[in-house]
Amino acid sequence: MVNLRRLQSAFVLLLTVAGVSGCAGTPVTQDLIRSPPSGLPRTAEVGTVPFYPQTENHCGPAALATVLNFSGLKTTPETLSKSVYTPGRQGTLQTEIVTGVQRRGRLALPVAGMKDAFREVANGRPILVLQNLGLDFAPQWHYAVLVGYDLNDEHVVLRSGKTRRLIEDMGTFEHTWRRSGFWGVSLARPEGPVPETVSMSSWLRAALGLERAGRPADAVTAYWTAADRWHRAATPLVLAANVMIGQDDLDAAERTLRAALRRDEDNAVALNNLANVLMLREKWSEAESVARAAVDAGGRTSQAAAETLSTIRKARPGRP
Amino acid sequence: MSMRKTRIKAIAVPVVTAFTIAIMPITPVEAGLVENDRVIETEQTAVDRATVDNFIKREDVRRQFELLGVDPAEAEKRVAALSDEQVARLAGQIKDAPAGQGAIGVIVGAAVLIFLVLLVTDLLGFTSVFSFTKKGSANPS
Repeated sequence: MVNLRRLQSAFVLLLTVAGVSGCAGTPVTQDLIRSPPSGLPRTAEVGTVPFYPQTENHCGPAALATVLNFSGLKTTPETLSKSVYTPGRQGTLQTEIVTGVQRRGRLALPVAGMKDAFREVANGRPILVLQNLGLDFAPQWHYAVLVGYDLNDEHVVLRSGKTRRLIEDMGTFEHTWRRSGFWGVSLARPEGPVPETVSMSSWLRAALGLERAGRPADAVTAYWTAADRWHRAATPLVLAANVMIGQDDLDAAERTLRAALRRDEDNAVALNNLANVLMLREKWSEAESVARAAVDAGGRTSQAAAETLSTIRKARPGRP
Repeated sequence: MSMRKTRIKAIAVPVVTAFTIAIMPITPVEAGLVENDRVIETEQTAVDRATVDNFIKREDVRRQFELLGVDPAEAEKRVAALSDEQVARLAGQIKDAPAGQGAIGVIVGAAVLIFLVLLVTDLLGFTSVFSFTKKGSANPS
């Protein structure tokens, strides 16, 4: 496989060596200040975001408590540190932040970049960000919460460390955030609303995270929210139906899969899964014809469809 | 003694049967059902393919292709033959780069475009600017 990481660093190095380093710096900040995206206010701040000062090395739990409380869940950094703080590493891993959010029934949505982050802040959403306050070869990782920005004065506002309202130069923030690959998370409730900058696939992936965290009911709610927001897409309904199958609610699963097919009649996964549900409900003749349609639809899941069809044919009682 | 044996048997048989039932697949549905992990994966692949397809259909990208002597129609065919993993990586590059926020974000404007175009053409086997792209990508199928 292509090693893109290596490729990137080689290319960046090449440019730097070639003396093009004049390009390096804070392109996003420059771009945002010179030509801000349409509709983005010059300044914004979510003043109502609470503040939990961190104790030593505990910036992860403090930042997580900040965004969880803002999204309506009462908790403290002390409570959280039991589950998200890794003493051996003297810090919190990104995956622990994400699972810490999911286990409490919120979607952890990736926000990968300053433009989206500012847009969400303008919409009243704080963003949990991972910064590297050191350098790449001597990292000093730090979690903070972005709550505001000012394009006129070129700064951002963070809940960070022991400072409630840390004003940081926008260029500095870009540097420190870039070093984590712009790792950022915003929280959403399963019932929505869906943040403006979130794509359907990010939302669905975050909803699947709720399922994995043992919260199937929240996951289903999140799938329905997606079905509402992207009202022509079949996939959210297919996902919801699978949870229903897992809960043995075959009637609801069947109805949901039929709704998915009304949105996209050739959806191979919906056809295949509906055939499975119909088989379980012993609606043999329709199960077989739907399975055949799934096979005909082809696509990446054609193997599964072929299995479904052959299982139905084997299991089907002989016709009178 | 034999009565006791019979009694043990009377208990053992249902117990063993119960265990056997418990470890058997609950329903035959397991065989063909597409589970949610897979549903998400399939969805993501479709999104990534669309990202790459839209990129190589862009006017400025086509111009770069022509400068390199690459037939855009042939490029499209080769993109279709890339593996899901290759497409996913490429889509990630394309999504990150124009916003200038990826790891290569320090390079701006036209340089980004040329870099991406060369990345694509390398992957597709038209060019070989980056030696790293050779391994595993010589055969896009």
